[in-house]
Amino acid sequence: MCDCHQYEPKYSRRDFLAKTTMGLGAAALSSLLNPLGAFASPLNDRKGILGGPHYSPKIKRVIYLFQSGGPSQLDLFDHKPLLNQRNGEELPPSIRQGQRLTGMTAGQKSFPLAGTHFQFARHGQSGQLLSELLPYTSKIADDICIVRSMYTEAINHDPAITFFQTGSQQPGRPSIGSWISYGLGSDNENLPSFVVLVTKDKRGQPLYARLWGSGFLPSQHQGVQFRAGKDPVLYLTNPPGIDPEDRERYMVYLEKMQRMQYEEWGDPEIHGKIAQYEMAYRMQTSVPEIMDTEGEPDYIYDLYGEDSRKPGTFAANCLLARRLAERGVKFIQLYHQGWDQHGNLPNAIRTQCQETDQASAALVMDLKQRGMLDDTLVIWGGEFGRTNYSQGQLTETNFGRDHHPRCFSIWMAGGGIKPGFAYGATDEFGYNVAENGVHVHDFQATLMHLLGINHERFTYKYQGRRFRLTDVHGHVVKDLLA
Amino acid sequence: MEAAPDWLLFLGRFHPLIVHFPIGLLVMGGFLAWMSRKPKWQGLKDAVPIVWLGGALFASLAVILGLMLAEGGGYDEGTLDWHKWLGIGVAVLAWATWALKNKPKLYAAGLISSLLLLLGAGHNGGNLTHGSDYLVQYAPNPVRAIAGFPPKVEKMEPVAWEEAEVFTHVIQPILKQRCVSCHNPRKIKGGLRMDNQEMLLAGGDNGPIWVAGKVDESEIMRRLHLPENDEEHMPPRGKKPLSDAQIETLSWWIEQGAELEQKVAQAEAPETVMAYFSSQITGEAGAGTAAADTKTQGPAIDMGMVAELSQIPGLSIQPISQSDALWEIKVLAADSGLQSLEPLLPIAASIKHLDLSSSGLERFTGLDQFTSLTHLHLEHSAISNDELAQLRGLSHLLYLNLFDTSISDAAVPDLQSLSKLGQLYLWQSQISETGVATLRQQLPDCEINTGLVL
Repeated sequence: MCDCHQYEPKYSRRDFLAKTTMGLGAAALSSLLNPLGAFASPLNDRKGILGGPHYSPKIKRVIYLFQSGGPSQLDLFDHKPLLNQRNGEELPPSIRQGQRLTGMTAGQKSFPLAGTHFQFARHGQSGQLLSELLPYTSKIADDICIVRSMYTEAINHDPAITFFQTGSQQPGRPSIGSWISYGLGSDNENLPSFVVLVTKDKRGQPLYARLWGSGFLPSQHQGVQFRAGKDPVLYLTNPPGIDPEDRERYMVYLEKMQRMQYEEWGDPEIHGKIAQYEMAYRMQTSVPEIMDTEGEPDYIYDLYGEDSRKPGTFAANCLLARRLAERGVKFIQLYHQGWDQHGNLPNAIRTQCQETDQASAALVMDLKQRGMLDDTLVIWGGEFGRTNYSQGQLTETNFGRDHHPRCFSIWMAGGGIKPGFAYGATDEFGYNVAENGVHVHDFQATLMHLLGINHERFTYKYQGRRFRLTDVHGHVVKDLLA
Repeated sequence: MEAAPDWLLFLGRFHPLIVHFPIGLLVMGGFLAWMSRKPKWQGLKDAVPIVWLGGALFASLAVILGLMLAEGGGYDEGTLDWHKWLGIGVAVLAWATWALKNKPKLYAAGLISSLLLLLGAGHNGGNLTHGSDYLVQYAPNPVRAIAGFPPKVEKMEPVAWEEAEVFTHVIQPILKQRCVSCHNPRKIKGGLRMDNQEMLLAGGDNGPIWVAGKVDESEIMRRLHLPENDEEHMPPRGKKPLSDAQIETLSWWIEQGAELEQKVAQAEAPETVMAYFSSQITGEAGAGTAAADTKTQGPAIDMGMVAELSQIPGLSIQPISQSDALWEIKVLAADSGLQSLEPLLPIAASIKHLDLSSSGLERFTGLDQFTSLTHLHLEHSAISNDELAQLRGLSHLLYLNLFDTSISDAAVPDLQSLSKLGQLYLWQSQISETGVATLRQQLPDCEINTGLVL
């Protein structure tokens, strides 16, 4: 660690340059907060462009447990007895109201309603209604806020997940984590402020690096994926035969060359590069240390479940997420694929829940007992919901559900969110939102609000117009706030 | 009524420019005529006719332009009428006087009456542009009385937070300061009067200026948000614009339904709006003690000290937000440059959040000086029972994290004195079950967490 102090004298020039490339406004603001910012400690490299949240933030970090594929809300969170009563009957057109279908079910002659195979029960003092598939989440019923009235326009995975992550169905925009890193900076010198963990060896809908990309924001704000296995971050470790001292000398020289390039080209991305090289150097020490969970006591492994001992599983990633949160990483995004049950739903969803339920609940509890839940937001959800009618043949033991954007559920827990609360409702068929719909943009606006950012004021000018995460939409959902 | 063509309005706007020239010429003519009565300046007499001719010519031009300007509308009809006829009278008399230049008595009478009419027309012109109380606005009350104006009203009495109403005490003053100068009975730009509640709600030539609950359909907000050099931007260029806080407050008020009766104390508004309320009602910027969340008071932080402390590697000093006066300090790693709390003590009273969890500090002397503290992170730290006693005076403390510390039952009396405490974390500390039970009893509103099992 102390070797890093060699780099300190360089920060003054780097800082100064970085701030002038970002414009006088940034320099002025940062100098207001830190008059000697040009010469201050390395941390000030990490101040976000906003110079502080707009209002008092409720949370300092976000852990987003993204369930890729679209978990079936009707079998997990949204109890619709009517579907069981009318199991097998046609979906009434008055309910469907011409909702477009995916190519997969468009050819179906009938849309038989499919009741859930699972029991729902009330849990905790708040009486949250949850299915038997989620026994551990039921134990934290009093800590979570379930939103049943989420809705989106996207009907297929790529646009839908891009929509959640970037605020637009078309790719090219920065992800939430990048916006936050750009706006609020980092709380940690040695780790990126946006880390991504994807469950290993899961089949399902593909995930792409652009989902945690920085879009048009400076590239040092992109999410960094930490993988399970020998090389958590690709190309981080020195190649065999290269000494750390050699690496240092190489870095110093490389930096000189990059500065020359900057003087010639004036490209601000060069600073992004310098920042990332520097971060990579620090990560050579910090990443192995954080990925090594050997030191965790047994009761922690018991809390998260046996899977947490196996690197790369969702449970192991949840444990890692907690460690990253402790180290000050601002946005930790987990992805778990496999929720896209077009067929074989009753069996497949059981497996999915076994892989995720305990660890998700354990994460919330673990954060809570460490006093971290008060300033962390944990989100659990997918990109859309699933249909109340069966895709493919509806049999007694088996059926599938297609994509359903019109209503789905997510849950959130943590600072600023009402615990033990259920918001929004869908109609009895579980097809349409009946009250208090929350659009993806509203969710993003609320998330920004919890971080203390006014989503309408935090913009970035690109190609002639000002962009923001919520584009030109989104209202903070005040009723969700504690 | 058909809108006047653009060229007419364009030319009409030159009236205020052109009109000052004949005023100058005619007054100059009168001045020369007066001075030429003295034998010494007799020669000046010859200059008067040509000056007067110039005055008459340009006065006529000014009348024509004035008539065009009047087509643009938005002027108080009464004053406009007076100004128009007096102005025409000036031009007519100017010509007549020039024509009678060879008849001394009539000439003199013409000069004098022209100038008197000019005085009247000019005064009205000023009233049309600046409002009828322009000259007396800052005059002492006796002068106001002579001029026939009511004595100046004292600045609005400061109103108590509980009594304050959103519309009367916050919204209306914004409109008064920034809008009423052009939207009042004497000057009705756009047919809109904003000085009177009824007229304000009725709107102007284009209808009501807001739609309750719909900021996007509200004309006033549209115009406030236009770029400043747009011709429809309000207030127009040259007039002082509304501040960001004022625009946000108006926007919030319209979004909420533009209620006229709502009380400030019951309003649920975003922080920036609440901060604006405080500044308007109590007169103190960001005082907000009546605001919903627990803003503790504390002295403003010394930026010089912040700059100095920022030199310490591994120490993060940041404002909590742009609207909070207090700051937060976090020590990032055990090898930071901070050896003790001493360097922080000069700014201790301005700190609201303090995170010493990764600090590796051995001694915590000086904790008692952080009097504005609401959140204290001491997890994993070497804090001892003795040092914890310093927390007794921290009456604003809401959150205390002692997870994984050696704090034991001896500290219970100190902990139970923290009456405002809402969250207390004691997992893996040395406090026994009995100690926890005592604390639960003494601090009924506090959530005490001693670890969880699934």
